[in-house]
Amino acid sequence: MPESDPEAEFDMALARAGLVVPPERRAAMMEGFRAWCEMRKLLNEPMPLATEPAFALTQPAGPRAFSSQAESLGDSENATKQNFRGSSPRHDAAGRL
Amino acid sequence: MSMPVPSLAEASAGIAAGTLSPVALTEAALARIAALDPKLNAFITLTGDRARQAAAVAEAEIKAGKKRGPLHGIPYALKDIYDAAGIRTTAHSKLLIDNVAKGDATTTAKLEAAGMVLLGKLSTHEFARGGPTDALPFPNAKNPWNTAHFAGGSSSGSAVAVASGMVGLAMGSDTGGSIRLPATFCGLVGMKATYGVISRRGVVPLSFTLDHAGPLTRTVEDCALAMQVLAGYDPGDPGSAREAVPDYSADLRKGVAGLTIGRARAYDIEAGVDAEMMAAVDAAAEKWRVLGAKIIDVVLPSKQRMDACIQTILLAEGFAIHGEWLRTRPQDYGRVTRERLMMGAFVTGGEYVQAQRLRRIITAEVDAVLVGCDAILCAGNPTAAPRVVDVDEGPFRRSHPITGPFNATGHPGLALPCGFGASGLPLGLQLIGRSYGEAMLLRIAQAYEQAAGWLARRPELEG
Repeated sequence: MPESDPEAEFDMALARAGLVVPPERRAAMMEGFRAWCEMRKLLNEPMPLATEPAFALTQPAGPRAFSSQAESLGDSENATKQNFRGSSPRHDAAGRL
Repeated sequence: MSMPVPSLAEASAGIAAGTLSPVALTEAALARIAALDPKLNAFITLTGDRARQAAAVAEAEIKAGKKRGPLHGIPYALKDIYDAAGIRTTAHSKLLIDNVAKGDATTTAKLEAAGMVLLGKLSTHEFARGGPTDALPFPNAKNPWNTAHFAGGSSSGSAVAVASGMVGLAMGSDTGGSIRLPATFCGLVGMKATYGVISRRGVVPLSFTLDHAGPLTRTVEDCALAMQVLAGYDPGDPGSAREAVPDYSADLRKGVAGLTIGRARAYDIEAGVDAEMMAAVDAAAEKWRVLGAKIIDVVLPSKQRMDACIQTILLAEGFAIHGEWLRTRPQDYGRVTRERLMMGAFVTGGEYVQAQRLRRIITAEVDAVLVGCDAILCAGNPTAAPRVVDVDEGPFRRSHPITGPFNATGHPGLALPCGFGASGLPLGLQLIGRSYGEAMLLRIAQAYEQAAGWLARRPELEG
């Protein structure tokens, strides 16, 4: 397996996101990125293939609810707040917790 | 000289007995704010005229026999990420400096319907994500126990306002501990209810599946009174739970005899809890044992593993919200907020989904622990409030909050004072309960609070 290049990944992710880190803050951001790279290894623990994510999207029984927050922020795009409902083992078939 | 306002329960009793009026109470609160806020910076927007009008209306209604409930005529305040119609919601940010809310958040509407009196909007870490020294349009709130120490965050102004006696109830929000940490640092009770119990509609989001709205109060009884108003299904919040609202005060004085509390000591050790905090939490466990509870050791999933889960979700969801502004208006964020939000650019779609899968497993593991006990006990933070100059304000913290894992699992968490450190700063613990088990947490907390006697101690403030 080829070794990853943190510097290249760092630059690529920022470029893809359209973000610019000022030169004087690059070292601090890079340190944060390296810490994140260590942490994310823990996400890859063995688990059954069929393990589903928590808080999966479910279809509501009635009209879909939208946040009014977008109105107060004056930004209709924010109105597309996702409709997350519970689906962990604590949830019943209707998606209730 | 100003005096701290009474607790919600004391104020309610006074108003019911006719010995305290909403107008007098509101004036007392405004006098306290005038005396202390120039030093503590709890408020961003003070709505004094609106409060005086609301108090007069409440007083007239109560005199006319139209009392709405136990909190009628009592002041409250909102973290400045909650909407209140006609008042700006800034999230303590230049980006929303002119954002005037068209309507109330659901929580605001509930508190208003209960007849409470809004005093204003409170300081926060920018977008509930930044740090305590960011250069922002408004000053950062200061810990009333020692202004050189961290007030906690992000609900900093909420905790400062209640701890300094400006108001009896302040609303906060908790995405990784932002109610419970400032409660611990300022010696307060803070409730992060089960995900879905308190509506988030009209509250500026940070992370959709981790955000929780909730109250900060001085006492457990006050927390129960606030929960009674705040809890309930809201079709306007896509994450709201269709659960019946219990009577949060009904079992408050039933004691803890026969209950089992699971002491998560290994979790505290992994989190780096220091000696004085560990001793205080252990002493609290002993107090509960003396009061009749059974104390058992419990082992939670590793904190490191749970941190990976919550941090991945927080980074990705925060970036989804702020990505566009980070591209187009990066200079309008404080440095800490900007860099922490930018970290979300490093999370891939696969990593986000993997974190959500891990979240499901971890939630089930915590559920399994809670089968054997009525609540889990751990520290509210590894230490008492650090000095502001020592707070980690890097893009990615070296250690992550002890509170965060329960935002990922959605279980209710209650912060409760459990003593004072050598520096004179408050120490605090955290109780974690079964989903929708807030009433049980309040019952357990009430027994300790009454037996421990920490309530009598207040920060020394002039005014």
